[in-house]
Amino acid sequence: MNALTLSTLLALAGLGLGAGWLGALVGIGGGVIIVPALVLGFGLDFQVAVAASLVAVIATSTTAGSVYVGRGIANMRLALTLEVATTVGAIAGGLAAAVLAEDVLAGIFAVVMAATAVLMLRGAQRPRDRTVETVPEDATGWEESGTLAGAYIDDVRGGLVRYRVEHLPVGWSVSLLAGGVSGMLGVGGGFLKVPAMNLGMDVPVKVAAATSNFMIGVTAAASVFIYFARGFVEPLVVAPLTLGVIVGSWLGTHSSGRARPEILKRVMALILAVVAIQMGLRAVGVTFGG
Amino acid sequence: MRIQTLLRVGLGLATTLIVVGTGIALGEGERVPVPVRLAGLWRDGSIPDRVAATGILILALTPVAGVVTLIWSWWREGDRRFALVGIVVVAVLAVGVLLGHA
Repeated sequence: MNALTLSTLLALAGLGLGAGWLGALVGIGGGVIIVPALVLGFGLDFQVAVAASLVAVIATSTTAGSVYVGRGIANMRLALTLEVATTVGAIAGGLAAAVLAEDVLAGIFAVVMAATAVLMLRGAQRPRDRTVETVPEDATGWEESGTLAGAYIDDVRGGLVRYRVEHLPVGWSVSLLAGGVSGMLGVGGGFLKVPAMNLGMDVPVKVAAATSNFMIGVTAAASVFIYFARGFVEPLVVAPLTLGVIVGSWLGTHSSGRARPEILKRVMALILAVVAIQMGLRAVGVTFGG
Repeated sequence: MRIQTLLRVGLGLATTLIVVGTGIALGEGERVPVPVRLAGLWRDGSIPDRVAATGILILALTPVAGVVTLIWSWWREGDRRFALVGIVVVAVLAVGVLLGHA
C-alpha cells in the first residue's frame, strides 16, 4: 500500500462499515468481504489483509456478543466445548498461511467464497417443532450447569424454548475445519459452524448463530496473535477498518428489523460469487488493473 | 464481573486507543503504514502506530478475558467439568502465542 492519506483512511473505514453492516444483517463475519477488498482493491499482501480481517472479526464478535450473551441466547458451555477444536484448527491455519504462497491462499479463498455463496442461497435450517413455555416478561435464557442443555427466549414464538445438544463429534469435526479456514483466510467461519450446530447437533438456529458469534472472536484471537507476532499487523490499516466494522455491526444489529434478509442474502451471494471468480483468476495469475 | 460487561469494557477501551492512534496519525499528515510486531509493541513504528497497536492488542485479548471470566464463574458455581474445558481453550491459545513467536 502507498502513503496513507485521509481519503484512504475514509475508504478503509467505509469498507469496514459496509462489511460490518452487511455481516450483521445476513449473519456472517465481514471477513469474506474485507479480505478480497483489501487484496484486490487496496493492493495489500494476503497475510496483511487476513490479519486485518481477523481483528475486524473480533470487533464484530465483541460488539454483537455483548448483546447476545446478555440475553442468554448464546450457549457459552457449548461455545467453549467446540472452541477446543476450533482454536487448534485456527492455530494450524494461521501457521499454514504464514508459509503458503499467495496464489495458493487466493485459490483456497475462492473455493471458500463460492461455498459460502451456495450455503447462503440455500439457507438450510432444520425444522423442529419445539414446545414453547410461558415465562415472565423480563426473563432471559439459561444453561444447565454441568451439561450442554439450555433454554432461550424466542421473541417470535413468544416464550421459553428448551433444547438439548446431540452428536458432539459432528460439532468438533466441523469446528476444527472452521478454525482452520478462519486462521488461514481471516474469515469468521460461522457459515460452517451455524449449519453444523443446527443441522448436525439439533441446536436451535438462533442459539447456534449467537453461540457462533461469540466463538468467532475467540477463534480469531487464537490466530491473530500468530499474525501479530510475525509482523503482519499494520495498525494504521487495521484501525480505520475496525472502527468502521464496530459502527457497521452496531447499525446492522439495530436495523435488522427493517431489512429484508432474504434479498440481502441473494445480493451478498452474488457479490461473493463475483469476488470468488476474481480471486480464482488471481490464483492462476490473471489480475485486473493495479 | 459479568461477561457482557467485560466485553463492553474491552471494546470501549480498545476503540478509544484505536481512535486516539488514528487521530494522531491524521494530525501528522500522510504516512506509509508499517507493521508492528507483538514483541516490538513499544519499539516498532511511531507513536500513533503503537497506540493503535495497543488498542488492537486489547481488542484481541477481550474474548480471551471473556473465556477466563467464564472459567472463574463456572469454577465458583461448582461446574468443574466446563471450567476445565475453558482452561484447555486458554492453554491452546497460549500455545498459539508461543508458536507465533517460534
